Amino acid sequence: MLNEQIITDYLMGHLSEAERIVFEQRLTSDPVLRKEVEELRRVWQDLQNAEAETDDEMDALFYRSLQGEKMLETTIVALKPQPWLTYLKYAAAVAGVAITFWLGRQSAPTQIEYRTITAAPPVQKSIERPQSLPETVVEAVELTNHPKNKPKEETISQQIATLRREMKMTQELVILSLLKDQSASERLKGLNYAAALNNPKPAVIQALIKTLREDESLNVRLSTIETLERFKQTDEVKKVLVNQLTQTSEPTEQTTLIETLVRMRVKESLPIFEQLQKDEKVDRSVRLLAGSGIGELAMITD
Amino acid sequence: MTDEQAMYAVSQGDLDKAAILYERYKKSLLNFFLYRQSDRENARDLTQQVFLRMLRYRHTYREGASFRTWVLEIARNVFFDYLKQNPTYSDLADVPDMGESDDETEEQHQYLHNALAQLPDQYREVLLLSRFQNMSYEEIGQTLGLSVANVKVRVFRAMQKLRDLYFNVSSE
Repeated sequence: MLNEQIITDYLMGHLSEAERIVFEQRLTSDPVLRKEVEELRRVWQDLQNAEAETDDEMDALFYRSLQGEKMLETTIVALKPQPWLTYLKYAAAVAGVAITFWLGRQSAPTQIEYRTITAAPPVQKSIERPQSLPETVVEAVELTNHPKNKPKEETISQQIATLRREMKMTQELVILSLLKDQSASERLKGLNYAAALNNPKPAVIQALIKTLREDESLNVRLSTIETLERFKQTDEVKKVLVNQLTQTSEPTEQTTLIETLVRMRVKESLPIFEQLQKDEKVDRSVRLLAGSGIGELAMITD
Repeated sequence: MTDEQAMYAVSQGDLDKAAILYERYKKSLLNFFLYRQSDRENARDLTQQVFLRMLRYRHTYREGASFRTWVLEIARNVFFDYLKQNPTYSDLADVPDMGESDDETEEQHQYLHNALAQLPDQYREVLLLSRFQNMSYEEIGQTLGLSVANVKVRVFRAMQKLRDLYFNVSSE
């Protein structure tokens, strides 16, 4: 370990007991090192003492904002499609099928009664007309054994699947419509819904890409980058993010894009990072971040 | 309750847990801004903005992610936005208003602030993260895109530089 790292660890109290003893022995025998460490310790302590305190006004402001946000949350929750509501719909569908089936049975009481009588012999695939039974009974047996009258579980699952598909389609339509809204907060709401989707349709991805390219609100664009990162990272999405980095001059957006591209390990962004790092017109912190991004991406092996 | 558990609860709609995070981070964030620009009123506003964004973008928090790193990303973005809206901002030219303090402490703050003002950005940031955000080397490395070894070296050099500036300023 370098001297610099040991001194930092010592001042921050990160050395192990054994390492600390060895280092303190070095300090007693090396007056130059001791002086340096003592001076640094003093600076570090002064820095610790120079901490400003918060005040009541600041607290009051925060708690007021929190209250406001809670009220907003209540309103949004009321508007949001709730998962329990979805399940309720499925349950209603199942109950509907069950009630229909039950009513069907209730509307043919004689048939059911006769069926009980004929239940004694083993069930046969083709029913022969027994001599001793009246015709109506035989008809009832034929009716109750007809495949059309059996409750089909697969029908219920099909209905649930259809409902699920319809729900997803509705969600996607709501998202697409919100993303086109004039109000930035509505567009952000659309992005929040989009972020909750699993495997969204290409139309949603395309709408997100359009939002990233064209939306005038920085917050909406930042939120779009986060949302796109959540989905399957296709080559198209990567290309769009890299392209956006060449287009924007907003330091916040540049920072978010660089961090996202590094997390997504997009090596194609290296030339752009290099351009940004060299460009003196670019914000200094962005240039530094681009520099460290180059380092991280360069370490990735294909 | 850990920061991460509290933030996860917030992201799931339990907004009351945001108060826990506010109480834990308000001081460190206030100082983070106070040492990057001089005005206490601004530092207070910027701190509020961080918590507002935390609430507004709570859905983007991913379970298990380090809250400290996440909230600091927000703080840095808030500060970038502030710089963008205040192009005439003259960095740390003035001494920050630290609230009520005695003369000696105020003088010490002044020296320290002047010394910090003269530090290169990369050094100032690493000290602020380490001191006022109480971030571990790993977290600083993650935030700044550096290895742990490089963070240690940078902290050391930042302190060395700060010491030189601090003692020069206070002996003037």
